Amino acid sequence: MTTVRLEKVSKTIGATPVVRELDLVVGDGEFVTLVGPSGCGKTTTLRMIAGLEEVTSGRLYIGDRLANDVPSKDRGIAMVFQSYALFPHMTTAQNIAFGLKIRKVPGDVVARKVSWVLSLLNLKGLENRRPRDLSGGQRQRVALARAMVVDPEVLLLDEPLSNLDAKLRIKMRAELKRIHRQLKTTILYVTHDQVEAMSLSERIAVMREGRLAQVGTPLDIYRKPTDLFVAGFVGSPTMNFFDGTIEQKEGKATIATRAFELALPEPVWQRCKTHKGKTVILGIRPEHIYRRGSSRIKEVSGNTVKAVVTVVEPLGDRVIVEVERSDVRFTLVLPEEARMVPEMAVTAVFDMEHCHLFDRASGKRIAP
Amino acid sequence: MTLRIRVRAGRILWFSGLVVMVLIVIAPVFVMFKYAISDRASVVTGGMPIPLWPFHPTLEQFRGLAGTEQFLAAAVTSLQAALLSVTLSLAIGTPAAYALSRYRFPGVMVLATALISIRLFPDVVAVVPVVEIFTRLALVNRVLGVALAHSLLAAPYVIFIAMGVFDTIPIELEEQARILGAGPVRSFVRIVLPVALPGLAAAAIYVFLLSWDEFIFSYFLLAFGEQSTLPVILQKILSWTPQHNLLAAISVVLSVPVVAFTFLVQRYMQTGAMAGAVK
Ligand SMILES: Nc1ncnc2c1ncn2[C@@H]1O[C@H](COP(=O)(O)OP(=O)(O)O)[C@@H](O)[C@H]1O
Ligand SMILES: [Mg+2]
Repeated sequence: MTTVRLEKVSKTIGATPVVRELDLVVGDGEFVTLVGPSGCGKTTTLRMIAGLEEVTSGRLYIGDRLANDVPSKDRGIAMVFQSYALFPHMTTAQNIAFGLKIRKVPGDVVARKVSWVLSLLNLKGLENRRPRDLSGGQRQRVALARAMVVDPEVLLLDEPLSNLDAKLRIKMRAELKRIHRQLKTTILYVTHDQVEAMSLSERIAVMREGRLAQVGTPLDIYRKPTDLFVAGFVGSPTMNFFDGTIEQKEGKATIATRAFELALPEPVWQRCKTHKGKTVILGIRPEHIYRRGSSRIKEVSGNTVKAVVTVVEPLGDRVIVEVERSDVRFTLVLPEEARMVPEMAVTAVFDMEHCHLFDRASGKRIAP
Repeated sequence: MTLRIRVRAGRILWFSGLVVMVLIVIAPVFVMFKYAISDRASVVTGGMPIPLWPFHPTLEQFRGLAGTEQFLAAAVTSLQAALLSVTLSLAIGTPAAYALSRYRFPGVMVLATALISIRLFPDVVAVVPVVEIFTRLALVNRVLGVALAHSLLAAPYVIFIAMGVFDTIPIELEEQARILGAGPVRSFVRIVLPVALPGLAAAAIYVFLLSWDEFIFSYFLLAFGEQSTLPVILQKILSWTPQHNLLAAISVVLSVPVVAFTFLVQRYMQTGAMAGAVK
């Protein structure tokens, strides 16, 4: 258990900046998820922390020690690669024991630790199998076991669940949480799957094109995305975005899109006054748009939009419904009972308390 | 109905094809064995057709060979040269291939191709300078010299094969070993080599064959010594046109070690050495 601290860490490969001035702290015993689209530099960041990739500039601390030039094996880290990188010629037990044997741990201790980690990860009975005779989920657990058995102070996990099927992935998420609660190891977890990120960890760091876009709790990021990218990246189904102009008529603040006009609640208006008369981007999550009659919020003039259903996507107990009004489309999530079909007319009720406004040029959040 | 007939006809055709192919492969081997155990009367028939199976099968020729000291000595020399060649060429070629595979620098392929293209020169051309150099280094008339020459001949191929093998081993295996605390040597010996073994076994078989068969270098490098390799002895025996059954017996003796070595090494050649390593 220790902390990992990145101070303006950058990595340039050839002439391409891959990671740019990353500032990130993973606290003692904390579980932080690094999330971002494919190619944004997550693996590179992890590899720098692991000592497999040199830091081009900036400082990397593990604990209180400047670790930029510390060899991998002395960093107190363990890593699970996205590909697992199991040693194909070794059995499960040999794979797991490899790190301990290298560290010259006495034989009886090795046996005890291997046995402990085998039962921690439900691998009992698979000791003598080779990787090729294991299923994907089992391989993934062997890779995890091999990393955990050496008692790392920091555990680095690179998309460890991405090769598993959906069901197993959800089961392993819960396992990982349980293991973290039990061992309290500092964990930096990388994924490109925002749902996984939201459900796994205490804190999320969202990356984009080598930079950190936002760090915070899953709820923070969901409620107050700092820019358009984070707003669009986090949450499923994705947030609706509209170009809209902020206006003030007869003392009432509104935002007018090409197809409809919505009233802005007072607190939102207070924050976006400066943009009066300008075009901004209005964001609202599908789950914050209701259907007349079933809405949890009061219907007032200025928060309803009449529209026509274009696409219905059933999710079981809920349906994602895409609707259209004068060529402007948006999605909402409704309960299955709503029995939506294309061509149907609906009146959508916008919960404007949960709207987001972004500057059109910079993409930065304006309000609320 | 017609479909079934057609299917059956197809099968018969396929099967006959297989039989023909097996016969083509087996026939020379059979003829070799048949002659090797033939008695004199089954070979020298005075115009009568040669029988499909010898009248009196015998191991006489083998006994004769076993009693020929020169032949036995050559067999031992050949075996020594072949095993030494395998060892030397792998010892030189494997690390070189590893370096070429792992530290990709511009022109790696040019270098690798250049190595191979050394073999574009006919051996007869290469043998003169090699003998010249080896004479100065006191490597002529010695098994070591022959083995070294054979290793030089084999090295480009070994490097090429091994490079291909190392290319298939993901660097992540070594990185994982490094994180777990293994230094470069340990990671190479404990991880890379065992995983590469099947591919390297193929290279070993190739070198063994090359050395076992090689004539020109062995001939010139051993020209003035007491030792000789089997191909060189064979050339001498051929020069006094021996009987077919003796020749066949020699052929059998020449084939056995190759087959044996291949079988021995083949155990390491199971496919899918990398299975389960990544994903
Ligand atoms: N060795 C390399 N040479 C050139 N570009 C690289 C190299 N490694 C990674 N990159 C680039 O760096 C970017 C980030 O890669 P990576 O860290 O693997 O992303 P992620 O793990 O987030 O998908 C990618 O655009 C990739 O193309
Ligand atoms: Mg990656």
